[in-house]
Amino acid sequence: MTPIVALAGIKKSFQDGSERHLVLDGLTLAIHGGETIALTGPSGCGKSTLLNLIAGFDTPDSGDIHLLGRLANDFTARDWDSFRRAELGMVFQQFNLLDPLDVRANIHFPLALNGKPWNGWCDTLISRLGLSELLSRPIDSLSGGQQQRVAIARALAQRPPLLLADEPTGNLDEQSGDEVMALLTSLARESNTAILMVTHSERCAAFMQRRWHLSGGRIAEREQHRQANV
Amino acid sequence: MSTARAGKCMSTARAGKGMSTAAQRQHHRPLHGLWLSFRVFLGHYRRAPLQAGAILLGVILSVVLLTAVKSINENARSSYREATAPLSSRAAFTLLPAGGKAYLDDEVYFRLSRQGLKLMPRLNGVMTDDSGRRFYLDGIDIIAATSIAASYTSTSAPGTSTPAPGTGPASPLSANLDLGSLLTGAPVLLLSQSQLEKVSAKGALKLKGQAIELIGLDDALGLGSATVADLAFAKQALELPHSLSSIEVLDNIPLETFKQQLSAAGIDESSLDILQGDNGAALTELSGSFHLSLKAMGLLAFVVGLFIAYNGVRYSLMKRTRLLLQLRQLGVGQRELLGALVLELMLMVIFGAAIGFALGLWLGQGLMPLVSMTLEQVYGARLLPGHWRPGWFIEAFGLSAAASLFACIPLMARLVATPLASGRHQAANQGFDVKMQRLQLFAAAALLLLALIITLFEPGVSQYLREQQLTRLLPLYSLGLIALVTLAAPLLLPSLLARLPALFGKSGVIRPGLGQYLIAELKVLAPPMSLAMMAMLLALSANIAMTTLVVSFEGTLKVWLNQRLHADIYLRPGDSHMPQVMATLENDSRISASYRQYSSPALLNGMGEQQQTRFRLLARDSISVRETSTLKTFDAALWQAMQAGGRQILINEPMAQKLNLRLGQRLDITVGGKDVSLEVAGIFYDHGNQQLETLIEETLWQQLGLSPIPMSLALSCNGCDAEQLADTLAGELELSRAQIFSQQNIKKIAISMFGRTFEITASLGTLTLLVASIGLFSALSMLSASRENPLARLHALGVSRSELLLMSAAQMLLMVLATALLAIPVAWVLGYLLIHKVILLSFGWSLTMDWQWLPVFSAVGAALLSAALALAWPLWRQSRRPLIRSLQQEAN
Ligand SMILES: Nc1ncnc2c1ncn2[C@@H]1O[C@H](COP(=O)(O)OP(=O)(O)OP(=O)(O)O)[C@@H](O)[C@H]1O
Ligand SMILES: [Mg+2]
Repeated sequence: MTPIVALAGIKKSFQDGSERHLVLDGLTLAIHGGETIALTGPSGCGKSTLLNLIAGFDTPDSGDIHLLGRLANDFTARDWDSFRRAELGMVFQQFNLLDPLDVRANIHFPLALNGKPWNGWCDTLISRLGLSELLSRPIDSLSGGQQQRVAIARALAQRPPLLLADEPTGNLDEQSGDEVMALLTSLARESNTAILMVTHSERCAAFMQRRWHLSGGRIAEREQHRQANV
Repeated sequence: MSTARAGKCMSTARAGKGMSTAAQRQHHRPLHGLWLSFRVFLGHYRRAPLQAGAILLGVILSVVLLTAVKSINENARSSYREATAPLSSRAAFTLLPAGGKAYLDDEVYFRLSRQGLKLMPRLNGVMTDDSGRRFYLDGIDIIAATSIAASYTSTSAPGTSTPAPGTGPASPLSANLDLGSLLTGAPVLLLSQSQLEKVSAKGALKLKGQAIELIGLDDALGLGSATVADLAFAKQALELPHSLSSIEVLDNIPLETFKQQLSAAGIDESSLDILQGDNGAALTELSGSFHLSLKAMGLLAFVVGLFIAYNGVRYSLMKRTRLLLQLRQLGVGQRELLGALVLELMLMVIFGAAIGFALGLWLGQGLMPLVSMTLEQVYGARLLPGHWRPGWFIEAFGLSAAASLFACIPLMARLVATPLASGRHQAANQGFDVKMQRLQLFAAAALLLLALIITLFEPGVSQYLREQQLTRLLPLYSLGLIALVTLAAPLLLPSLLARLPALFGKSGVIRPGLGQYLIAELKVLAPPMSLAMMAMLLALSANIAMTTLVVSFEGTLKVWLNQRLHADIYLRPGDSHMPQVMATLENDSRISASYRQYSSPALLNGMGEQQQTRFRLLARDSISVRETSTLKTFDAALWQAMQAGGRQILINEPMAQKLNLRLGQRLDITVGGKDVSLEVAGIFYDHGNQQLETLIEETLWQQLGLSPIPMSLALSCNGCDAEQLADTLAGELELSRAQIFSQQNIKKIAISMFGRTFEITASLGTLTLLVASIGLFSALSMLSASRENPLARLHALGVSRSELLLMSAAQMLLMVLATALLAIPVAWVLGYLLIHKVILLSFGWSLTMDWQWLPVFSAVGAALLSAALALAWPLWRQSRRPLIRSLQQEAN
């Protein structure tokens, strides 16, 4: 079975003043359909950078990225567009919601881009994420946690085969965090969605099947201690 | 992140001066925080030089046209005051032939000289050299002029502005000349250096085989395009040995004294037309509306430039929102922060104003030839090369500093005072925007209401002003009306733009997704774009209105000329030649009909602001009167009486307008020393003519005992080649080609003169549009740049770049088109006011408004083009770097 995401020998560095600062150093990984992975690591180790590379927001210095069996290094702008539009759901560390639109329009946006109407799954999402009361609110009137839940709903709206989430529960209390985790795992089960989730929380990491640790620019697999307590 | 670094820098800087006293210093030196924040801001601009560039650009643009117009206007005004033609404006009186004659007799000059008066005789006319080149000769007594000029330079008259030091002699005549040979009528012509170069480039000048010597005088002496000759040579060249065109009386004596001296010299006062000198006041007044319109254009450009600068400030502040918050969180006081912002702004204004000022002087120099052309053609004024005064810079700087402070301080104060805790200001901002819009809408409504009231009462008010003899207030009054509309229109725009999204939202054509986003974002974009769009609106409507005016004038002029010029050939041989010319032509078989026109200065008694009003009395033969008068209104009975030889008169439209004359009114006129009373039978159009002119029948002219020699003849030749016949006749009658014209010729001259007249207006209109386009470009590109993050978010969700481009284009298009949509009716109203109020009231010409769409489309096209450029550039830049960089950009 071809993995949804396969990275091989990825190097990525940033210019920091006069010197270059190597963040990812020959990183290799593979994610298969329906797999759920927690990505941990110290702050500034390159977790967000890794997600950005997979999503095509940035390009590696060297190394190959395969998405859905195709070499993404050769993707045209149009390939990236359709990949993001149809295959990818992304929860950003800074949410990146569309400010001019209200909550409902934000959640509906990925579906609308593909010409699909608001559906029952959207209703399920908003009620499970506790957003029903907020649907017509403008984005900038929401609290950080509320914005985060909207971002999650938006990412899940069209049940993408791949979900990249950058600390999706960072702003949430334990109970809402657990609800989000339950949602993610059930989505992975029902729609065979692969999930790569950055988290600092042990509690959230425990919901995922696998756990990766990023340090020194590479990934190390860790033993998953507890199984999901759904 | 970098701002945090800046914060750190500040604390280390303080630490370096001694940690223990840092807090104390803060207290003792309130300027400390100001200075530190200022340095942080400098760092900000070092990283974003484009932002500083945009502000500078705005200041520069606003000062450039303001300065250019200022230098043009001031130079023109001082030229009117200075001697334009040598000494003429310093004359106390100018004596001209009365009673329809073209020349004065030499004898008048001799007799008056014997009375001990200081006089300047003058003979003007067109000279043709052997190769057929024509020159307008200004013959003066150079000896007299030199001695007088010397006395004037030593005791420069108070009140008149003296030329800047180091500009040389005030008179063209103090140059070293061989006076002896001049006196004997040696063929010498004095020209300005630049004119000399033009003339001699075409070969040497010869008159009747004799070579003419050309002497170039410094351009700064202000000869312009005139060719000066000594009187003795002028008499030879023009073949008028005993004639003078005019005599200037240079003694400063009252009119009564002068009249006594006239009678003592045995000169019949009625044979002379005595013009009193006014030190250029007449020219100043005559061209007042011209200068006013230049000034208005300059101010418009100033405002547009300020819009640009304001937009730049607004953008740079927006980019520093977080920085400002952090500085305050670090303990910098609100006042210090505001002080630093003001200091920064003032530095930019000084810098920008200096550059703009230099460019403005340069532009003014460049436009000068156009302006002097216009002034020379329309008002007969000649311009001197300009000198600038340091005061202008202070004025330009002061104006831009005051205006930018006025515009920016509320913005800065609002930003500096935002609460430290809250990170969300957008809702508050929107509330502010809505409040502003309501205020603007209210102001616009009030202004428009005022304009409407003024329009409704206009006939009454202008009637009143005329009755009170305040006709010179009329143009001001109508310009005030224009000012109201120009102020009100842009104030309407923000509300219109803000309503745009709702308009589309309700229409139901918008589907969720990108379309919905487009409209929703428009709501956010509209307020910051309003300012740039307001500037664009002003420039667009001014430009279109100006074009409409010019087009209308041109159309009206052409139609009018066609009717006015009914004959094929026009000739003007001069008094001495005329009888002979008429006799020769009498039995000429090539000519089917000939028409005569007579002319004399005359005075109208007891009408208008002065006791006596000067005007020109023309007479034509009966057929010409009927055929060539394009009557605006007439009284049928009086018109018939006039044709039957009665005492009726036709007056031109400017005269009827300025003096508020009506049909059937009796005019008491003094002409050729006689008083007559004539009844107004009709009012004729006289487009392009600013002088007061009237027309009577030949029979009445003869009854009044005025000069029997016509000033000009018009000839018809059935279906002949007029141009060719004119050539032949010129040879046969020994006339210069400057004295005989075909109809085509005159039309061509009139139209091209018209074209040059409006060249300066058109150029300034185009410049204003250019400035506005740059303004729109700068505003839009800043807006697009600040949208990097929102667009990146969309792109991250899979919206393609072409979709983004399309969406942004649609948004810009909507805003620009909405602006254009408002600009078109505003332009129409402005054009209407210009044509039916300003032109009519200040010049007395009623024009037919000719609205054309081509200039509208080209002006709107220019706006769209600059919008497209502004849009494409940030999107292009964004496409050249990783998306994550745009995502990491500070969102507004
Ligand atoms: N545009 C950039 N320019 C320079 N350096 C960058 C850029 N983006 C990220 N970095 C650097 O790359 C490193 C990795 O950043 P990244 O955001 O991936 O960290 P992270 O693991 O997500 O950290 P956190 O847990 O704090 O979110 C950091 O040292 C960061 O400073
Ligand atoms: Mg991160």
